[in-house]
Amino acid sequence: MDNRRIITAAVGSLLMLGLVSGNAMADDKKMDMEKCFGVAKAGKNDCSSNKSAHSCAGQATKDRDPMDFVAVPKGTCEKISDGQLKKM
Amino acid sequence: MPVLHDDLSDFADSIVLGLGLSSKVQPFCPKYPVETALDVYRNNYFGNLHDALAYAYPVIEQLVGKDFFRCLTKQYIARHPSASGNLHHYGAEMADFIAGFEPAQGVVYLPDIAVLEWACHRAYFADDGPTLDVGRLLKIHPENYVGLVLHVHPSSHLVRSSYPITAIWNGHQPGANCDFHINLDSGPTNALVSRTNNAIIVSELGEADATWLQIIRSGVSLGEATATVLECHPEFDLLAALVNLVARGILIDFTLENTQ
Amino acid sequence: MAQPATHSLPCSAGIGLRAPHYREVLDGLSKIGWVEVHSENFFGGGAPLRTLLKVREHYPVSLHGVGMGLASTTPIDQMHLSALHRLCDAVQPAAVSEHLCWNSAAGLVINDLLPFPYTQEALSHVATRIEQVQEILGRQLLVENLASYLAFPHSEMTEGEFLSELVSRTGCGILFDVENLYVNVRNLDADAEAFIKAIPAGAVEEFHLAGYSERGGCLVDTHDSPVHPEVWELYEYALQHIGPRPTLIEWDSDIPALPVLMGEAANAQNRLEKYHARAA
Repeated sequence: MDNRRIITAAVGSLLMLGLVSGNAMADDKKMDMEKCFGVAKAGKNDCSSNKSAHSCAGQATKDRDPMDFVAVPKGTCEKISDGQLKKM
Repeated sequence: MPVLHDDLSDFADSIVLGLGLSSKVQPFCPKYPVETALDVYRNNYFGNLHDALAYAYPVIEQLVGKDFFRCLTKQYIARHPSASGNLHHYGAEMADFIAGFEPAQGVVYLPDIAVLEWACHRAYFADDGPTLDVGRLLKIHPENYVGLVLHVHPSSHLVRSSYPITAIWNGHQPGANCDFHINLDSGPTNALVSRTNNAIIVSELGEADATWLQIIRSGVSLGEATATVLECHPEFDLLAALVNLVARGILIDFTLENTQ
Repeated sequence: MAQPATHSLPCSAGIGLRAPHYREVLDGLSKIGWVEVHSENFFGGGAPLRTLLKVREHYPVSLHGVGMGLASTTPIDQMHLSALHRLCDAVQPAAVSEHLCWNSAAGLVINDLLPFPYTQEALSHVATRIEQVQEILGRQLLVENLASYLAFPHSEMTEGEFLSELVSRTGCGILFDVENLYVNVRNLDADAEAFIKAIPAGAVEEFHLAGYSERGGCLVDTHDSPVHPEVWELYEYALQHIGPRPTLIEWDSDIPALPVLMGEAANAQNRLEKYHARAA
């Protein structure tokens, strides 16, 4: 009812719990390494030429629109719900 | 810088737009046709930007499949050229682009996934923040708690959606069980992005907590934010929200209203 | 920081450090002389920078930039330059390098390493920009020769002569990429001996070695394979004429297991020691 009392009680309890935030808690070395590199993004900038000799090589000079051959999303979205992928 | 500038502009047009080089620039390739060399550069141009987008939007790529994603990026690149020598800046407009991309209209939740993935991308590079200084908070007189302005970690983002985007995102992470069952009609979700050490975590926040955090993020005081939320969400549990958000390192600092 | 700032790279073989190997390298199981990373991947700070700073506690680090566009005719991107400056302050790298190339034209950036004509006009332009970068960073910049797929007939000098002029005008150093030179020999009939004669040996601070691939008769600088025998041969020739220098193995695509990369580094190390011994 009384917001001031709710807030005083909540912050008071938070302090009594003696909470230390997540960043400080996770100091365990092993866990740190696991977390660190489990999802490490590779970093996109590099100085090599793009090696994927995919179909886009030379495509820029042609008139063909890539939409000609792929017009429908065909990935895991097909599993998410029925009907969503059907032609609108 | 007239001559060099003209040469480079011509070369740039040839790479980006696929045009032939103007007669003034006659590059020299003794072993193969000039077009072969230009195609290598065109391939690099498209490929590097495509890969940067695939890197920032891995869930989108899985959702629509590699072929469709390649078409999507091709159109995106034509519309939004790169503006930075740092590829990590590339791709910020993807959510809006997808929202207007006709062939993807059937996947209604796709723009929201793009917003979430860009938030994760930014979270990865966000600065580190301090840890909430409990000792400093202890010194605040309880009378003044209502005037606390709470600060959130620079890596934290809140993405609110009408679709179950948290479940979709988590279902597409490396090692996730790909046999997921997601009901698109399961109601709105609030995806909370945070970084713990170097890992990006996306978790779900309840409606009341999300509304509260959104208000807090805008710099409103604890008292005002809590009062606003309690009006429409009488069940809002402030202590639980504080415990959750402090423990996860999302609330990291505070100032007092009127004293800063 | 466990180790004091190192002001130059050790004259040994190093590896290009990429994300798949962070963990193994940090576990300290690897005997690596030094590492090089791409500067831009750490510009944002956050998680990547934190990892790099851990690496820096154990190994000398070289920062290798791909996005400054030293020869672009658009103004230097000041945000890019100040991000590099901040990174240098944080990491205290043993070397900082950029490529002799351009990457931006009116209204857009082409995220690639593009060649330009080696004219007097370009020379004063690039020299001015190198001076600008060196002044902001407060240190010497190493400039790397480029792998090119085409050349401009109105060039007034060779790439080697161009680099040599840059050294005398700006005091920059040279990062000699042996594979890039080999690619130019094969693609554009560049003269490797003349290149090595043209550049001042004393200004060469680092060698790069990498693998290339071929597309339609054109060698492409893909960094996706072991160093080719012809490139090893050219490296030995460069060692004879320039002397031993810190040498990096670059591998950016189809990145192999760390031991494979270390094996390549060991191959470079053996050759370095041979020429060390010969010089002694």
